[in-house]
Amino acid sequence: MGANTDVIVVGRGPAGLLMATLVVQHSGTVTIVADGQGTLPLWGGQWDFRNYADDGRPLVDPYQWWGDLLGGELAWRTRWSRVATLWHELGVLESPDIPNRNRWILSPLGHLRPTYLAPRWQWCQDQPGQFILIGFPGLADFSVQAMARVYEATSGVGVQAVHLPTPPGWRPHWTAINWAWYLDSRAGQEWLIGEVDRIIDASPTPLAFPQVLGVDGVEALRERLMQHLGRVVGEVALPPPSVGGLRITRRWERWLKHRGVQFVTGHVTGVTRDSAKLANGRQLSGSPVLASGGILGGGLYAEPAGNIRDPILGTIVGSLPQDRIGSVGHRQVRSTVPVIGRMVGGWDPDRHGDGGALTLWTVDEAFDAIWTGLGTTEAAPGVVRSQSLRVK
Amino acid sequence: MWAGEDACLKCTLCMSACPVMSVNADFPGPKALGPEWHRRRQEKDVLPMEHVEDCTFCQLCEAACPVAVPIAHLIAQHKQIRRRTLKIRIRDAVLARPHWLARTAGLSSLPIPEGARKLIGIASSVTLPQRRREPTEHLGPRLATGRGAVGVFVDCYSGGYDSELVFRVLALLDLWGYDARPLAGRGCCGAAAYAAGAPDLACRQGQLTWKSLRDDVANVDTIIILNATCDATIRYEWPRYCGIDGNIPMLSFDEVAWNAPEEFWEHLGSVPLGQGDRYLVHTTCRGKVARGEGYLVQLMARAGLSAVPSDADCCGAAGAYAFKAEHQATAHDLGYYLRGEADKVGAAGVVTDSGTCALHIEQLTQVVTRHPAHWLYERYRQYLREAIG
Repeated sequence: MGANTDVIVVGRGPAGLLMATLVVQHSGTVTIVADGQGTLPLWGGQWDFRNYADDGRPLVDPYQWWGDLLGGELAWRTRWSRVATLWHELGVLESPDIPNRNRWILSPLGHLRPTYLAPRWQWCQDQPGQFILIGFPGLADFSVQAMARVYEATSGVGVQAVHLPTPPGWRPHWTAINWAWYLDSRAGQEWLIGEVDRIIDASPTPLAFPQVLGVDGVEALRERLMQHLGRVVGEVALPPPSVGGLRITRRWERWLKHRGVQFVTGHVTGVTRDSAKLANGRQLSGSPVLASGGILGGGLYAEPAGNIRDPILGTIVGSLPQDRIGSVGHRQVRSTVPVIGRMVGGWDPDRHGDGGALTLWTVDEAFDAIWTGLGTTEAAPGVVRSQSLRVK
Repeated sequence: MWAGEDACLKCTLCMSACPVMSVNADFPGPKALGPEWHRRRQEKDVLPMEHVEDCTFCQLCEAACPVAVPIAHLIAQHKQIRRRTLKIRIRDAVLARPHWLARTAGLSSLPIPEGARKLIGIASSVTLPQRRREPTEHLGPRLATGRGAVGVFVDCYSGGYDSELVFRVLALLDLWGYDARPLAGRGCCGAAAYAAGAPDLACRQGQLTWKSLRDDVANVDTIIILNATCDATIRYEWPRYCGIDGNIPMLSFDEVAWNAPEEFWEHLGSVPLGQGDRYLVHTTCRGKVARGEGYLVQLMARAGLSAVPSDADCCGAAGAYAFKAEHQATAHDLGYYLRGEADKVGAAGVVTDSGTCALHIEQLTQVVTRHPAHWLYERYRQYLREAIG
């Protein structure tokens, strides 16, 4: 049952979910096959375009850096508006418009980092400004004193740091995720609003929280805080488990399920142009797309000799020079089954902060190829044909 | 012992997936209770951690893990060493043997006063199973013939409390052209015992059950399993954790139903949908882990019903979990999510393929909650009434 769909997406990370989204938005049917969760809950939720120049310095204008690459500005704006529209549908509120430039977010150590598209819950600013850091008990990755020191030293702007006490029912094992679930509850929200009101001054200085302001109820709590306290409230994404990514994953997967997408638990052991075989012997029919090469995907193996092997196809899809760990894949695929995601040969998304853009681009290309192959002669609406990737 | 038992990367995806953490602030989470505890115990004898027994054994942590650590199964071992009072040990020994309870199901109509519940550690407000009495009627002429001999594995709950479900399944299978009968061997697959932290007992139960079925299954082409938890246990847990390999085709009820004759679906499709007849579909946690999600919605939609998937991860019933006094709050809070969904959808019914989950969900949503076979049977009866009179 459910064994025949237009597309079979192998992998459940951001690339796989985005591919499935494009297919259902064009009235196609999709099965997502995965034997793990996908890495989205590990991320803070922001979607990067290109954060750093080749020399490692932060980039202000990513459009200028990309230039005519991969379709140029028009193609990129179309791709980004697709993410923004999707976020709206999921109930994730993004920045007011598709930004023209990178904006600044805070790292958990108080450094300013560039990023492109961030949900509105994220602490995000166009230039360094003043704010109050709110410290939570037991969050080792959110030391407000250290953050204030680093921020002052690097930006020249002084910030204030305050500490919340422990709420009733708090346990020393609480991580960001426990805090977020607690703050989804009415008791947690009342406690937070009362305590923050008590410890901060009456100025309109914005507040920066760690990313713990609820899982499913973050927008409502943030709105209540802003109204009650009369100031801007934002969050700083923490290391995993990163609540921002979890919020998006939950909403996105639900959105897909409610649109008839099948989620199949299983390990894919082989694919052809029109089928995928699972380890339990089951066969699925449809056009496969491999979205299993993410940072925890297990979809691509780096062999000792430096070859990158795709275990599903059994083929070598690239090679890995020693200085290029983290950058494998797409262009060297010797098969006709599309591979999507941030792992693109010759690129280094961890160093340059362009994994979001590479995901958008590879999904676009794969969707175009598959949708055309499924009987449409034109590129599907909203899909941008781009020139081939020129590796920089 | 198991592949992957020490592969934890500490990526924390298991914590993101854990439903118990969403409602229980005391619960330390799967990473701490599973792989981290397991690493510590290699060095020395370690004490069990508090609240380890709050784990529902939904296995969603395990399904989320990118490196296949058997997280929930490590937690089940962890549960095994916790200290319990004699009273709780006796209660747990009984609840880990649902086939015993099924045999005494006739006693279930006797009320257990609150004082007695407290004495034996049973949740004060939870509905205990009652024998269901609904007549099953013949479904008319067969729509196909010669589709083979199938044996229905009757789970403890259905065997004890819902034998009508079994009769309805047999009526449907007969209608679809199968030569169907319940398997004669009877026992527990071990799901309840494993979930409650008695993996050795669970595997012994599984082995005895398989042994009792073995002669009987030689005469059937396929075994059909009605309960999603038993299905996950028998098809996926038995071979991996208990060394039992059935070596006979096994299918869950919905997989067989999907291959029902086309005429069956045409008949169901011809029945007009009542206004507001929407059904909330809950795929059990174990079903999600073993097989995925979406197949029950598809099945109900094919039957001409308006089916909406539930977003609940685990309903909290978890075998005997919801019956235990110490889990009352967690089980309630997990399941209560479905109440909001059922209200929002305006659900005429809830669909789920596990008897204990159905009992728990029905109590919390106040909406009739039944196995997909029940809804298919009812819909076909409706067709017969309206088309034939």
